[in-house]
Amino acid sequence: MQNNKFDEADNKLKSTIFIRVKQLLSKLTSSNILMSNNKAKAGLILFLSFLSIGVVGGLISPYNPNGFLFGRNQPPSYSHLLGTTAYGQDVFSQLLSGAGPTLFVGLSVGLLATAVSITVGVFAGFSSERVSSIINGIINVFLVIPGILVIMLLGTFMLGANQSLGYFPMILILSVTGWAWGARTFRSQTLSIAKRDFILSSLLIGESRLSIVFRQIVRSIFPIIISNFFFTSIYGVMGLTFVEYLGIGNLLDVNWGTMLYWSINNEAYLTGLWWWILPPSIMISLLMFSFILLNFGIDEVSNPSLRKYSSVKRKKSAVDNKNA
Amino acid sequence: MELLATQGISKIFTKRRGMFGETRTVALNDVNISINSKEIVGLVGASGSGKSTLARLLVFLYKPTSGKLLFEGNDITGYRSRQIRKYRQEVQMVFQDPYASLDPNHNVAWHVRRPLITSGYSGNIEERVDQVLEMVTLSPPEYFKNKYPHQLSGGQRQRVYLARALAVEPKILIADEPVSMLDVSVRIEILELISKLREELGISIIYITHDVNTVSLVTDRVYVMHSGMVVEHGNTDDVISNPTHKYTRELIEAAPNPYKRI
Repeated sequence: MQNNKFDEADNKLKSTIFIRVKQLLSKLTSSNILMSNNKAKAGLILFLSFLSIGVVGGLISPYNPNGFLFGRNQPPSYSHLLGTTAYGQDVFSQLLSGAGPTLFVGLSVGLLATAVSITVGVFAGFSSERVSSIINGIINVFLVIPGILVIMLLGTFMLGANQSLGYFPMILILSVTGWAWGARTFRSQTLSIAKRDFILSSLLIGESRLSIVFRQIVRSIFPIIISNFFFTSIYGVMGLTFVEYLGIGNLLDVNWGTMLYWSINNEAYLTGLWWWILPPSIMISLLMFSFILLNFGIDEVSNPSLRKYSSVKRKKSAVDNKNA
Repeated sequence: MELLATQGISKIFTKRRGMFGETRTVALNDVNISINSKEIVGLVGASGSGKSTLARLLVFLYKPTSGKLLFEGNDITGYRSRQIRKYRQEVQMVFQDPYASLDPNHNVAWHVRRPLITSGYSGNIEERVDQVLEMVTLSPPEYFKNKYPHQLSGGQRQRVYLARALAVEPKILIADEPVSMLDVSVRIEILELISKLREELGISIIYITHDVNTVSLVTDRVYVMHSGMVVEHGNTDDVISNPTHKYTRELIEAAPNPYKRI
């Protein structure tokens, strides 16, 4: 009997969770946030395709990306879709398996730095004036630290010690140097929202500050958080590519930055090996492009003054007005 | 019984100017007001007369420069965060602008539910939400519960806010110009609702306004404020029909007369 009851409760819990998930999914799909806007749609499709390449790229690459298996400097053919490098590596395999690390570093930097900037920025904006100005000073200090130069310094230092800079130290340094911009934005946004009546009202109702921060402030600046995430991810990808391009990271890792490094070190642009130098450059540019498109799209959706209404709608409403 | 009272309360805002200089603005100067239970008290004055500052002092959004706050006979001037939180369950405030006082990201049910959750309401919260929404004549509650503020009219929003403020059963409601942002046709409904709530719930209401017409409609007693001081107080009918202070007379004369033909 008791067991039965327990099962019932369990089923009830499961069904409520199921309903919640279903509601969330329907909200996401019906909200039209990303699908109502052409820029956002293009950006999302591009980004998702990059993401899928990043996830499965290493598994479906036809050859070992690092093996010196083939003839050198071969132009694109059926067996080597993007030709081979000056060392006899397959460029297409390198491109596929290089997507994962590049995206991983970019998105991790985006996530980590955005998390830090939300915490610092929102609490700075919502605390007393003195605390706020102290945190603002700290933010300004971090704002002027050039992340890439710090990585170069550390990278050359590690090279001197016969070690190479892995992905994780790089993510860490890029996050530490990349959060300040977001924090600044979030702080100023929070300052303006915290003075509005509905926050004051929640204080009077007896809400805790933590609840106000997460239930109300973070929620109202959510579009800005998303946009900041994409910009910081761009910073992450750029940072990784730049550092690897300079040859400071681990040159045996395969990512789009090291591909650029090797191709330029072998003067691929002079010897006519366009199939070696162009693919990583184009992929990096397209990745940035997808981030920026998503950013613009979300900006237009969240900021109604930027929203464009289609002329068809306008005509229709004019007709309606006439009829009325 | 005297529920809430101020004794010689003053508020001076100081603003730093450069290194040594500072400018002082006297917002309230030796103000004594009191409110009894089940009473509607009006605070009338032009903008800048200190009536909103007084309202914010009463809910601890500002600290008084000098003077005492008394609640049910106890001195509460030095209350700290936890005591203030408890006190705020007894004294709630309704804001002027219903378009700004509701969070655009949350629906009506959330707005009424949160104060119940934070105050540790022991009964069925959803039932209480329905009950409160019915009380402010937002019925049927099911229809309004899932609406967002932008889907409601100004009057409806102000009702939602009233429901939010009344959900925790406060003893005093401070209404800071609750109808000044509303359509004239909606004002009377809200004012009638406020009077009705006083009858039904037995709460005291401090009604702050610059509009002499609405004061005479709802309040029992009235304080007239001018540049941070109470210049006249008494029964509303007496003050309106027989003003003694010069400023009160000016205020009453300035009020538009609905019977006057242009």
